[in-house]
Amino acid sequence: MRTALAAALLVSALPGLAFAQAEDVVVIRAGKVLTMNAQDEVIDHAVVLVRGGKIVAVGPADRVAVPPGAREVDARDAWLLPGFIDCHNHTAGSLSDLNDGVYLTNPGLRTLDTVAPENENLKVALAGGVTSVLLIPGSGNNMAGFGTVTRTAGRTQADMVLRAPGSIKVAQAGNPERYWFGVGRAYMNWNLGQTLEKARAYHAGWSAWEEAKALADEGKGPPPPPPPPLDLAWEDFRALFARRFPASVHTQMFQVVNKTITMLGDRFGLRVVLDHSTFDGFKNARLVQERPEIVTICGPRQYYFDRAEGRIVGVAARWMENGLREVGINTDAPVVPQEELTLQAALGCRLGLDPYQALRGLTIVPARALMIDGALGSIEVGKDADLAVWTGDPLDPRRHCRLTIVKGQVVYDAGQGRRF
Amino acid sequence: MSARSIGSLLLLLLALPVAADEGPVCCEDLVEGPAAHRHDDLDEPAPEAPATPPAEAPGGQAAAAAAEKKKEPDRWFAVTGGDVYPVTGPALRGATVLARNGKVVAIGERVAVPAGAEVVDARGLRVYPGLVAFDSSGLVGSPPEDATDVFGLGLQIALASGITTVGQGPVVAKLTWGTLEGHVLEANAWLRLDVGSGQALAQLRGELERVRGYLRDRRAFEQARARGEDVKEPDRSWLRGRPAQLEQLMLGRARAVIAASGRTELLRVAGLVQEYGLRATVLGGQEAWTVASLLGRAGLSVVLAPRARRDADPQLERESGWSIESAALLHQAGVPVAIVPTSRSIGTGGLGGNDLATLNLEAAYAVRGGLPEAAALEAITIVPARLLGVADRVGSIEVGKDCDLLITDRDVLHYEMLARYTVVNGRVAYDKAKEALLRAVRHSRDEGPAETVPQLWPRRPGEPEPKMPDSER
Amino acid sequence: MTTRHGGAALLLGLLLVVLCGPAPAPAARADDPGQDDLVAIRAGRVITVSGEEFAPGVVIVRDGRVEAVGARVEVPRRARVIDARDGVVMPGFVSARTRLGLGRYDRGGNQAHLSAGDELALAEPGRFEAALSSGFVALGVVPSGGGVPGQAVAVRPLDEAPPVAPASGPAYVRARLSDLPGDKRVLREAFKAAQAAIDKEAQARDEWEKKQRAAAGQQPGQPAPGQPAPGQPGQPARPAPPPQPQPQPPQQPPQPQRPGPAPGAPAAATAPVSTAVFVPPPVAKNLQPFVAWLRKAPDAPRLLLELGSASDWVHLADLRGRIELPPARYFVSNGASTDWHRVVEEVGAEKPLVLVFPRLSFEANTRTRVHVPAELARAGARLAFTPVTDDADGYRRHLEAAALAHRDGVPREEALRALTLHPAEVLGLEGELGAIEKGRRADLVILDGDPLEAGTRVTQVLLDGKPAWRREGGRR
Repeated sequence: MRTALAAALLVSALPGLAFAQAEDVVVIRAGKVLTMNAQDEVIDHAVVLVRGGKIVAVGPADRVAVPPGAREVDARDAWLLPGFIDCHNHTAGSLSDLNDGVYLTNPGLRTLDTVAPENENLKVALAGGVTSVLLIPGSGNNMAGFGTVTRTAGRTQADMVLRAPGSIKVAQAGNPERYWFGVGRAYMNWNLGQTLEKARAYHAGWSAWEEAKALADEGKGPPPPPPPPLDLAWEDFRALFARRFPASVHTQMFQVVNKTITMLGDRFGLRVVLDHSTFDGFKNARLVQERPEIVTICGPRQYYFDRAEGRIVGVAARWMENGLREVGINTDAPVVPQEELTLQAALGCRLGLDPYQALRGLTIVPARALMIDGALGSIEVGKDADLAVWTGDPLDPRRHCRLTIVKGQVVYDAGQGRRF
Repeated sequence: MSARSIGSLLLLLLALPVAADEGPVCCEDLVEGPAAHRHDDLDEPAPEAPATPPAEAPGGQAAAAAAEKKKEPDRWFAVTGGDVYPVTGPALRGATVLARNGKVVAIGERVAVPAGAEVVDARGLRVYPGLVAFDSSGLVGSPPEDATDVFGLGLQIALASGITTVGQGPVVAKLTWGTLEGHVLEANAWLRLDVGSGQALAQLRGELERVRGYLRDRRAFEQARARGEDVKEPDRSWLRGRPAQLEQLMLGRARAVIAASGRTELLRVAGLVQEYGLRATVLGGQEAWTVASLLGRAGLSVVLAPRARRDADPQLERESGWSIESAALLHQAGVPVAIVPTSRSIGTGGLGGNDLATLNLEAAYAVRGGLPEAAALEAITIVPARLLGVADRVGSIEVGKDCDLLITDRDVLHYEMLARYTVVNGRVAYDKAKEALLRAVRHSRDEGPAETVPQLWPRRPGEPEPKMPDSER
Repeated sequence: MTTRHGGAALLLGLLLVVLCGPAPAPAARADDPGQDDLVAIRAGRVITVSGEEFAPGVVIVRDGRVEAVGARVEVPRRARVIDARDGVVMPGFVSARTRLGLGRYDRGGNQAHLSAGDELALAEPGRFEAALSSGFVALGVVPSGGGVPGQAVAVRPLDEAPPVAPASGPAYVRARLSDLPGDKRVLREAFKAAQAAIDKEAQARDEWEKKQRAAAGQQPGQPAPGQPAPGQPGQPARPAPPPQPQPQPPQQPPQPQRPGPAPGAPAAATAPVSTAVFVPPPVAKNLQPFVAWLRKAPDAPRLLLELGSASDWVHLADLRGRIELPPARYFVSNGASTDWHRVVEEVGAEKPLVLVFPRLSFEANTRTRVHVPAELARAGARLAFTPVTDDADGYRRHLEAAALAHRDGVPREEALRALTLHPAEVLGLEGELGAIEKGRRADLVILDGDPLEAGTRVTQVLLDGKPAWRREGGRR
């Protein structure tokens, strides 16, 4: 019974696979393909072949055999990139259930139940080439519940959702300090630690029982004791402690980012995504550098006015200058409209972020952060065909997203009723 | 091939527009085509600039003679070797812009720079006219001549973004850093009219009718008097304050600004200006694209923010709501378009992309909607200058106009564009290398070493203190 | 010994001083009415500020004024001797701009005719105690508010706030240019109205002269027009009426407080014969200083212009381009965060007298330190220190603040003058106070060490050479 429940909770561990479309073949011809793969390959005059919603071939036009009868997408005058991924989104739900303010920590809540297909707030994401987002609760609570990794297109929740829970949402300082009468950072850190300790104890209890049961099943041990009581408030944390999804943390400023790394990363051993990472959070770059699993995502504040030096600092650029190999970019939609994810990246570049790194920060970096890089985030054989056709450099506001493709299907066409 | 060289190759690729891109004409294209055979035309100083020093005698006795009259020596200023994009004319490669006492006196490749001139070496850089923001808030004081903080942070950020002239309500001011000389350009550029409600429109019509009646009586009186008849002059004692302003408006001597967003309001505005023959500018205009040709026929101009959203009304059969293509469609219909961001101020809170600091990117969004790049540049330079009635002074680089320049190493509409220098009235008002504000920002393709960044914690025991670049002042 | 007791003792001491005069000393000859009041101060060191230092030194005071100062000055036998051989004697400190002990009473617009002196009666007893015990011997009390709040008066730090120099009139007119746009508008409009008043008078004079000539022209054998009518014998018996009605009650009577050179001059030139006298139209009281400034009248009041930031300096330059402002002293309000460094060269180039806080600041929006007084002094300005906070605490810390300013770059001579001579000059008392020189008031301070060493304390304050305050208890 428990296994069935766990399976139900974890809608899909391998995104895309369960919902592959029929075996239709699509061929996309592009002027330039930015694969965003590990080799940083950029292929001019390229062909991407899609079968059943998955990429089956990528290469120069003259090296990819196109089967007859394939549906053609002609983007020979355009750039093709992976669909963009935003690690920090609030608009895939109803927008009216952002913060459940009854308790400071809400370990049992999930955004999965609020995912709204055909959501008008989310549809615009497609116009910005954004094909996946992490829907998370607001930052009004210290721990607000579990986020959901979802596609931005689809008619049903099952169609859309890539992973649920997709993260545990934590907000360190900042917004939760305004909770009710105001909550100090000392209490928040204690409270968060307390909550996670309880969750870890629950996980440890079950893990011990499972081990004992496994040994008994193999005939190597005595019959196991009765299982610990099932508690839905803690159940989702088992996958968190098993590091199957990350903690996505609203964290900013040096001291707070520091605490996020040391508490959630070091003390509890969680996979950590540093959302926002703004103000002078970049002073922690060395700590992040030494913990390669931690992913830094910058936004929606792309700059920090440093009142000690009288200057404007590009946050993403400064993380990189301080030694990081990569940063992601987020919008915190609707704080910044979801379709303006690329503008966030461009603003980072305006203040010194390398444009190619900015594009990585929209694709493979957030995919890695959300642990969906096995299926998304780059144009590689075997990955889902979530793509976008741009009339040029996506970071340049002069260029626009012409087509958005999800699982090989065109879900947005700027040629029809274009507004963005 | 190392990862680094691949990276730089990629950067190069990213920097170039796709060959097959059907996109609108790039600013760069301006250089190639028409400019190629126009360079020589501008080599010689323009004839309307008699004070241009002769090429063989730089430093000029002429200048000295002129100075004697004014008792103050002439202040020469030159920007040399840059690619000059005058906006109202073809681009010039490697040209010099020469200014005397804040006014441009020569533009060309072989302009001699007088000795003692302040010179900005713009080799490898692009020279544009300073950007003009039709509307702004908080950058200059109210009124500017009495209240501007000439060392204000917002003012400096605006300069760093290439802006040199701003409207603030009907007042037009230049961002004169550290001085009030030439600060206010126009104290009363336009008159605000309100058609926001049926009542407001009715009241306005009443006022306009009264003025129209007076003008009719006045004409009749003048004709009668010309015929030698003994007639009574119409009473104009009431034509004070607003009625007097409306009279100026109806005589075509003033310009109105009317806030209107929806189609219904816009139609009202179009009807009104046609009926009374007014020169007017629409501020807002989210649905203007749906009635573009009508606005064009009414002679209206529009100031808009390309991303100022207005949802389409699903109840309507017709087009409604905003469109990124607004500026392009209006431009096609012959409506002059000036572009402003949705927020007219400049913040330091970190949320960027919607305020005056990225005025150029707002124009880039209009390009996204199909506006030609040249028109997008005009929409943040010469068009707002015209709509503010100051096009004789600013908005383009021309002999006789003010020497207000944006000097940068990027295309003005590019997302990495930051001013390297900003010039106002022939003075360097902002120098990126000298001001702390953005000195440390270095783009990946920039040459030279990055500024040492001292802000990294924790520092290891025994690790040397990083060099503080700012402490050497 | 608690502070409270110390305070009580101090008050008692003060009372004694006030009631009984100087404390009995062996050399005092109070019973000798025919003699001058003679005091000799023997000091370990005398800092004259305006001249050299003497160590050791002697200051002779006769009738409250310095008679002599030097290293080898003979002490008259009958002089009462104040022994400060283990201390330093220097001129008492001056605070040129204060509201110490006064409540908020803000005025707006141009109130150039109002004086802070009228507020002094409202202040509480003991209000200047902190100033006196911190070595201050004169305070410039200012009216509060924006625009042109009014006239400052120079008083001594005693309860009854006696004026330092009874006949000196206002110390200066306080005008602000820090709250823009209001302040700038007030100033501009005041000058504009003053110019209008001058023009009006000129016009009235023209008309009056025309009438005079017309009246004279009726007489046969008159001199050519243009000759002054007054002084002519055989003037018509009916004198020309004044062209303007008599002044309204709130306005100034025709005889101004400080008559400019023009009004009244014709009257003086007239012969004893009964004749018409030009009566200038009245000028509103609050415009009179502005009229005097525009006319460059020699007795026009001094002007203190208060500036908040570097931009205000630029606005001042802008005003100067439109109006011929009188020479002014400046108060440069250098806060903890400041942008004065941006215009420090321009300010200094004028070699002005600048009232400034002896403090270290940050350049605005940075943690870069800047010492505005040091920078101003380097650029050529003459400094006058004013307490960083205008309260008892600010006065108590003033000497130490000056010492720190010296440590941070203000040259010693400048720091000493900034405590004494320069603020006295702001008040127009540069011949009276601020230095130990023959003929000046013997308002002195005795310290237990060098004034520009942090930790030095005031041990005694002398007004007119008489002890006005003395530190009770042991020395450092």
